[in-house]
Amino acid sequence: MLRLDQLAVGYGAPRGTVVSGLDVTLAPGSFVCVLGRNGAGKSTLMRTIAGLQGALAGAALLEDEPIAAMRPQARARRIAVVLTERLSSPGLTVDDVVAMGRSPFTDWRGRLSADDRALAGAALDTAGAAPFSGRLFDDLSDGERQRVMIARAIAQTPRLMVLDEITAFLDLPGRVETMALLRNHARSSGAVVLLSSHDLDLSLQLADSVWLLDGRGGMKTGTAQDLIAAGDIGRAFDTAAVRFSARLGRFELVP
Amino acid sequence: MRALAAAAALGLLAACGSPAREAPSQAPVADAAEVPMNAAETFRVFERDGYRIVDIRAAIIAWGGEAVGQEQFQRLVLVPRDIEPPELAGDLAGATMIRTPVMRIASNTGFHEAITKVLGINDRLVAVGGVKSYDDALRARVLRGEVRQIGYGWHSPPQLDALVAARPDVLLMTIGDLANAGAKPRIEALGIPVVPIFLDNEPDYMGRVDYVRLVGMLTGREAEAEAHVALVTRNVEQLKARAAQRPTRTVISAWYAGGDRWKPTVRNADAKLLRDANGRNLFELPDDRSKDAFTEISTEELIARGAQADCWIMRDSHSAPFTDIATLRRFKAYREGCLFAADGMQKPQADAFDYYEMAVIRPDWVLRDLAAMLHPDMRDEAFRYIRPDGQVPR
Amino acid sequence: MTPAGNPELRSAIGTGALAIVLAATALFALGWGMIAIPAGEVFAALVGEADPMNAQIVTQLRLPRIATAIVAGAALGIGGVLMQALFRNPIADAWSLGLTAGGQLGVALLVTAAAFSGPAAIAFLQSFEGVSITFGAMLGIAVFALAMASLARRVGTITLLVVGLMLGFTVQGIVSVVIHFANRVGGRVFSGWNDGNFAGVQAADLPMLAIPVAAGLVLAAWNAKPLTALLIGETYARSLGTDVARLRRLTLAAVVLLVAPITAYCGPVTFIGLIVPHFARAIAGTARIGPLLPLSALSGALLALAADIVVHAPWEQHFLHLNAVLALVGAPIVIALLVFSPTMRGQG
Repeated sequence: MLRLDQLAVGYGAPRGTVVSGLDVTLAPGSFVCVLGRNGAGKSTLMRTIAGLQGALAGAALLEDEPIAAMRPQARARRIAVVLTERLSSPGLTVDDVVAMGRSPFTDWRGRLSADDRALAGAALDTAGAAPFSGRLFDDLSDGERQRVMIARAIAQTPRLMVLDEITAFLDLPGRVETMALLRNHARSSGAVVLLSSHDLDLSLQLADSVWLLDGRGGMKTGTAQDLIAAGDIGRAFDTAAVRFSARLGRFELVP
Repeated sequence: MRALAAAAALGLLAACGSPAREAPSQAPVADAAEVPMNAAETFRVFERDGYRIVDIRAAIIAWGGEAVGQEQFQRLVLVPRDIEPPELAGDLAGATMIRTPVMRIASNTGFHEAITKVLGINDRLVAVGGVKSYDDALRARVLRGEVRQIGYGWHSPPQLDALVAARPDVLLMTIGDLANAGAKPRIEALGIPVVPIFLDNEPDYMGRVDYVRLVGMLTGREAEAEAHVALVTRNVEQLKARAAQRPTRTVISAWYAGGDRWKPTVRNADAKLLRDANGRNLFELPDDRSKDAFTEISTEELIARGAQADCWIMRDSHSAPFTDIATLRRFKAYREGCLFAADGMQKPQADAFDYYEMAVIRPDWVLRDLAAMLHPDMRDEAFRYIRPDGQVPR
Repeated sequence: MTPAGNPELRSAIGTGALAIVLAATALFALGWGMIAIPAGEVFAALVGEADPMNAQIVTQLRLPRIATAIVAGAALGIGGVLMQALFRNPIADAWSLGLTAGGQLGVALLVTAAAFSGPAAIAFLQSFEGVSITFGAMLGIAVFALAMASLARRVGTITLLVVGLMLGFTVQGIVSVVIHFANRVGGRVFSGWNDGNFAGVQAADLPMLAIPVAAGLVLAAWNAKPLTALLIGETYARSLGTDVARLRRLTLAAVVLLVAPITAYCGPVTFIGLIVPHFARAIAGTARIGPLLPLSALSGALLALAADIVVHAPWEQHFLHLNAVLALVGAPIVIALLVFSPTMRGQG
């Protein structure tokens, strides 16, 4: 269970606070999409919740434990991230990368037990990356690499998965497949999956609930229907050229 | 906690360091009669109770430069095989004992071989620097493998494998380089006594000849050594006297070193040879034991200060040729045909140069060449080491 | 391109094979050289029952030299693995990034400082010679390592390499000036260490060499797992629980422990740390640090030993220097890496 308690995220001067006054609770097994325009603070929020960055005020708590206060290894056992970065790692195999997801649980030598191996294998299957097993990570396309990183995060058996705009390199079927598998994973494992995305359509259709950053330091939460009905989507995204249609449930170009 | 562990580790490391070797006592030798040397300043010999004590003291001089570090000191105790060796205590503490006569000699420099040749004991050489000996018989033995090669001192410290395999009684080591000085304790630790030869440091060329007496004492060939020294001394005195009767001529000995660099002889033994041949060296400086015999100057300075020299020794067998006629024309020595080169007595196909072997202990022969160069009416014999230059175009 | 076979298996087989080849090469080196000693005599010398001359050559001359080559090669090989992982740079190495130059400078400054402080300081330095020069090298390497580590965040891979090599040249110049002054004031000069050489180390010095290297090895093994995580990037490493700042410090400390004694006793030894990790990766089929450590140690030791054998071959004159031999092998490999590796080609 993830709870944000008066959380404010951002940086020191000059950029300052990006989003503040966040009070949200997420039940285990939720699949939540974080939406907002560029610069609204999605990455900042994700990184803060994942414990990669400090909060300016308030706290994020995972199962009632403040994330920022966790020791790094304990945090690594609970929270897994997948980022947008384009990765390259000469010489690592796909299996090496996925096995790394187990490293918060293994001993100082990094030795994988039979259970660890089973979990890694299952993660590969879940992420649809099983065909890549045995190959060099660098030989994969960007989209394939992203799947492997998701597999790695799944192998980490986290209570919270934070994924920051991971669908950038995927084609439409790929994006659908990825978001669907993440939603299924959330349901079946009971983990909270937090995914930021530019894929408004898919997000609105697949998410259990949506966090919408309005770009002015605030955030609206609720189901997709709620936010559409309240006109928040329009307010957050409409421009002179494109407008969200509550009736159609998608964007339409302004003639 | 970490700091404690680090300190403990450092202490452990310190304990593992190799202990410093006992330095030889430098206390004045007591109750001994000195065996006087004519001119040598780098070593002194004392006699006591049937054995001899040799104190060797000199600084290592970098080639063309100055003394490096402190002076090296070594005390040798030469004990004939048939008498009871003295205890190495008191003023003999830390000294190196050598039983004489030595029968197996290792050497790292060419002029040691000249010394052994003059003493008639080339057959006692078991290891030399390499295959560049001027003596054909010796060179052949090296090529056949009968005499081992340990590398020349001017190139590298001795090859320890070959040195150990040669099983010498003593290593005659000219130490011109700190690398060689560093190798000396290692060689001694292997059980091979080292006799440092500082022949090059002697400020008087007759001091070099005195080293023949030192080797003579080591090898039981003192009679031959005395005869050699006497011969050379006599010749030198005669030449000096004859040359002194002639008018003094100006001279420079400045060898071409490539680019616009020249190496003029300025001090010590080589400068004294020019002086004793009754030549006035235009680059002469006061003698200084802590510096090498030559220095380095540019072509401009050479012209400015040396153009008026009557005679000019412009190169040796290893120098690059200098063929710029325009510059040469500014030198009186070139115009009047007194341009010489120190390239006599060489065997280029064997890379052997007697100027760096025998000439070192036959300064009378070199002096003869110099006197003949400076005073044409003393040219009754052929030039030997220093002869008219044959490379420069006229 | 699929790596054939299981990396675990390949690493195990590779490690075993290298160990055997290393042992055989060491035995060969004990018998080969200006004085040829047959294998039987070598064994006899090792157990103390051979002809005294052969025994002396084998145990007092060749054994320390060969042991030094093995320890130095292993240390530099592992140092290379650590540097390449930490800097995420396939041509990183203690030498190519200027750290060995830092070590030389540290020793040179220490000698000069002692020379200027007077005879008492010189005597102290000489009585603790081994510790002093190792300490000087460690100080120099640590300073340069920290400088390069912070520079690495700002510039690209190849730029870092160029800076490292330039630092090496700069230090050479400084050292020759500094040592000149040390000479003047009568300081002892640690001669001949502008050139790498394994033959200058005597048996009594070996513990001074081996102990810091062993400590560095332990530190490297301890940090193998977090360093592997670093291979997928700093952010991911942190998300996996790695304290990246601490890892950087510990890894650099390991590099200092591994490289400083080698530089202090053997002078700057080039190329080994640079090329050995690539060879190890090729054998293991993985970039994970764990299996690379023993593979790099053994192949580094083998490379150093092989180069040393070439240097001490029975040529007429001792004309080949260690770094010349290593460069003949290493430089073409580095050129090939730069030209043919897709990752290196695109980087500035």
